[in-house]
Order: sequence, then C-alpha cells, then structure tokens
Amino acid sequence: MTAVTFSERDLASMVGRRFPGGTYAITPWRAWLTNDVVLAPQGGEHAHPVFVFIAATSAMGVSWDELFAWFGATAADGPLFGDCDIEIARPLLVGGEYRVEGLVYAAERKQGRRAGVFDLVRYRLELHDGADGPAAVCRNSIVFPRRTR
Amino acid sequence: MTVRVGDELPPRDIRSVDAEKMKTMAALLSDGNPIHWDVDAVRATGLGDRPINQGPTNMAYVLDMLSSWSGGHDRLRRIRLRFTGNVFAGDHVRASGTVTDVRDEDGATVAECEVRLDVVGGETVLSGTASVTCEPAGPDETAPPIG
Repeated sequence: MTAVTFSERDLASMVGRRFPGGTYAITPWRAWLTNDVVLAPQGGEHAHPVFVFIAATSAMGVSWDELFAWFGATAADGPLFGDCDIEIARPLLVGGEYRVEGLVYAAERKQGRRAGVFDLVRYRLELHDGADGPAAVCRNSIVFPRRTR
Repeated sequence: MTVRVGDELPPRDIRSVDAEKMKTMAALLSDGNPIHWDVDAVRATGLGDRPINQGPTNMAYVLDMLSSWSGGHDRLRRIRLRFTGNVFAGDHVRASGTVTDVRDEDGATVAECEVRLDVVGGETVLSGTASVTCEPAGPDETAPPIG
C-alpha cells in the first residue's frame, strides 16, 4: 500500500479531471472472443453488455497504470474495484464504434475498521454513437488502500 | 413472458472457472496485472496460489443470466454491482437473482431484480440490482414473415 503522501487536498483536486477519451470499435473478433471468455452464446447483432465496461475503460485515454498514477498509486498498491453502475439507453452493436468521454466526479478519503485508510474514487465514462445523448454510461469506483505512516 | 415479484431467475452456473480464459480477457482489457495469469504474482499478494478472475468477467456471468432469462443482450437497462470478493481459477460460481418489482414503462414490462454472484460453498463476490425489459423492445422477432 502507498504511504499517505497523496494528501486529501491532492485527492480533492482530482475531482472534475477529464479523461482524454478515445474511440472503441466492437469488432466481430472482439465480440467473439469476449463471448467465448465469459461462456456466452455466439452470434447476434447486439454486443454483450459487458462491452459497456470494456469499451469505456479501453478508450478512456489512459492506461490503468496511468489512472492509478493520477492518484499517486501503482498496481502494486492493490487498488480494488469498488462498484460498477451501467446504464444502457441503446444496446451496443457488434460492428459499432463508440466515442468515449468522461471524468472523475467524486473522491473522498475514508477510514474503515478493517481496511484502514483508503480513498474512494468515482469516475464516469460515456459511450457515444452519434445519436443524441450517450448510448451507455458506466460509473465505476476504485478503492485505493492507503497505509498511514 | 409473465413476470411476477418474487420470481427466481434461472441460475447460471460456471462449474469451474478456467484460468486460460483469464489470459484472453487480460488481453481484451489491456489489463497487465499478472494476478490473472501468474501464480507467483498471486502468491506474492498473499491471496493463495490460483489465478484471480477479472471483475468484468464475473460481472458478465451475472449479465448472461439476465440475458438468458429476459431474451437477449438488448434487454438490459441498468445494472449496479458491488464487488466484494475474488473468484479464483477452479471455483464453481453461481449467478442468481430474484424479481423485486415489475412495472409497465412505455409499453414494455420492466423487471427490477436483485442479483448476485456466489462462489459455491464460499462467499458472495458480487451483489446488486438490475433493470431489464422482459418484452421485445423492438419489432417482434418471433412474428411470421410478411409475404
């Protein structure tokens, strides 16, 4: 775990930071491999809904290591998935291409009885397909364990 | 499709989570964390000696249970899941759910469900809620062709 050199002020300053974003194509080969990995049926025009998460995080414009570094952490510090909230306005399509944009919308330091000090960071990523409003929205949280000095 | 509050969704069992699938998922996610394929890396974290399944894969097991029950990948409106544990290679996991509310929305039946993913004989690793459309959202694909 990271020693708490990343201050609460540093943490608060990250709220509102926008992801560089990018685009993600749900190519047939990605759709096939993903269905295979998760043991889902193959075929159909609609992509597996897990692609909301995969597309959003693949095209957010930073790697996981870079995202962790925004918060003064590395993968070795053991950041954890907190929760995931997916809303779908229009089902994602195999062959579809999506523009991803988003931002960090909340971050707070907490103290757990068992976990000790940790930072809870919430970020939102939208998938746009050219129609009005996002086709899907993915809100995730990451837990950064912090070791007190 | 008739849906009632209290209905149990048909569970989805993954009898033995496959470590080989984790390697493919790591590539699909560009997830370079070696705990998904390198047993030594898992040991170094003190989490045992089996590769750890990716969170999105665990989420997908729940999503598939919902798709199978509701009629397709296009039926999901919203899902909120909390990650509370790990799934390891070889684990038997079960996705399950219960209907907690049914409402009519824009002519479609929408079911609210409590959902979870459990390691059979172990802990709950995912829990949350989902909204799914239980009637065709678009043209009725089961209708006979015209002409």
